[in-house]
Amino acid sequence: MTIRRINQIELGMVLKGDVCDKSGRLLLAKGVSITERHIMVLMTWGVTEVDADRVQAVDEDAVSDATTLINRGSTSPQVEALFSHVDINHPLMKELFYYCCRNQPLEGEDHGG
Amino acid sequence: MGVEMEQLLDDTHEIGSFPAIVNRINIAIADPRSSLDAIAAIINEDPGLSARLMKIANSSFYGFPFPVDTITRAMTVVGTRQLKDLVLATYAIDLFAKVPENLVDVRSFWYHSIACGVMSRVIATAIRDSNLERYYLCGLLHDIGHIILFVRLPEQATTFLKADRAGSLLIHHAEEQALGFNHADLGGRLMERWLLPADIHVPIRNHHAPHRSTDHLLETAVLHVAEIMANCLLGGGGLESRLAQVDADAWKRINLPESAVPSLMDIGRGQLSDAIKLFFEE
Repeated sequence: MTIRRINQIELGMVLKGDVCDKSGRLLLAKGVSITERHIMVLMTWGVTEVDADRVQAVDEDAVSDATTLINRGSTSPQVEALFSHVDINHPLMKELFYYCCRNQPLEGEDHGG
Repeated sequence: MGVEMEQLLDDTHEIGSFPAIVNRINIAIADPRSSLDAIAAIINEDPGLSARLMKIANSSFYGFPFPVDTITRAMTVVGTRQLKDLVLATYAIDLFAKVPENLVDVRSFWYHSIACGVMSRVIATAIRDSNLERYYLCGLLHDIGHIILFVRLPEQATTFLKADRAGSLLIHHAEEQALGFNHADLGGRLMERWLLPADIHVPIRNHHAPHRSTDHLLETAVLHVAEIMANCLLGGGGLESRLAQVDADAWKRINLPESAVPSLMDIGRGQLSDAIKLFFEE
């Protein structure tokens, strides 16, 4: 069983088991390949974790923990600059920091100058 | 100091205002005796407006399974409540054209405004608020004060921008220090003067200081957080190259768990790509 919290689900992962709400009503069936809409459904129904896994194997060295990223000094200068005026101890700012470490900015616009 | 905010807005002829057609559409929608055809007739007077409306109604936002090929059908798909806000949004885009291109990266400004609109709507969906287009519009217009500053006080506005890029001061702090008010105050006040509803101009005015709102607290909180998230999506695009700290009370008011954030960002990312295509494809 690969139980994951909602925030650990990647789009395209496959449900390993049926997902039901608190009263037992089926929300999503085993085998579903998770899309954005499914995540919204899960959030709407207050589901916080599901049994889901990637379809293919993934490089386990791929870093998912921002603390590790920070400790390794692997944050990019762009992300450092972006967060230079904030306190990442606030839970929202921390999540956003993790997100920015893991994801390229959209459009790759150079915001400097 | 010298510059009074009201005076700055009094002198802002170049920005203009929303065209009269917006008011006529709103009046027609509010009148229970108007038919859809009557409203469609007004919309059809402006071919740009009707084209944009059709495009939006046909877009993936509404997911209507058949092509929408008439204005009356578009209105049914979109709904009259959303229609008013969409009409406003299409004209808001015209305002963006006033940004002086030699001073500001206009495309970057657009992306940031659209991203903020998208994230506002994504958050609003997650908290199950029903008036999604209202949130979208708020996000789209939230930085309109910047346009006024660049048109009316271009040298000072450029100084503020430079301070932000250098990392010494966030742009809205630079504005406050020099002028006593910031682009949010300016934008909110302008929207108020243009008779936009309070649930739009109040959040715009207070989006950098949500604790100042005495009503529309949730809308202000959503806009405040949406802007921060939009900046994360774009890696600091728009005029603000660095994040502002979230207001803790605003985040509490929205009442979403932090674990929801990555999903919200992913959803926003997808919608932003679509929204940008919608605006920039002719």
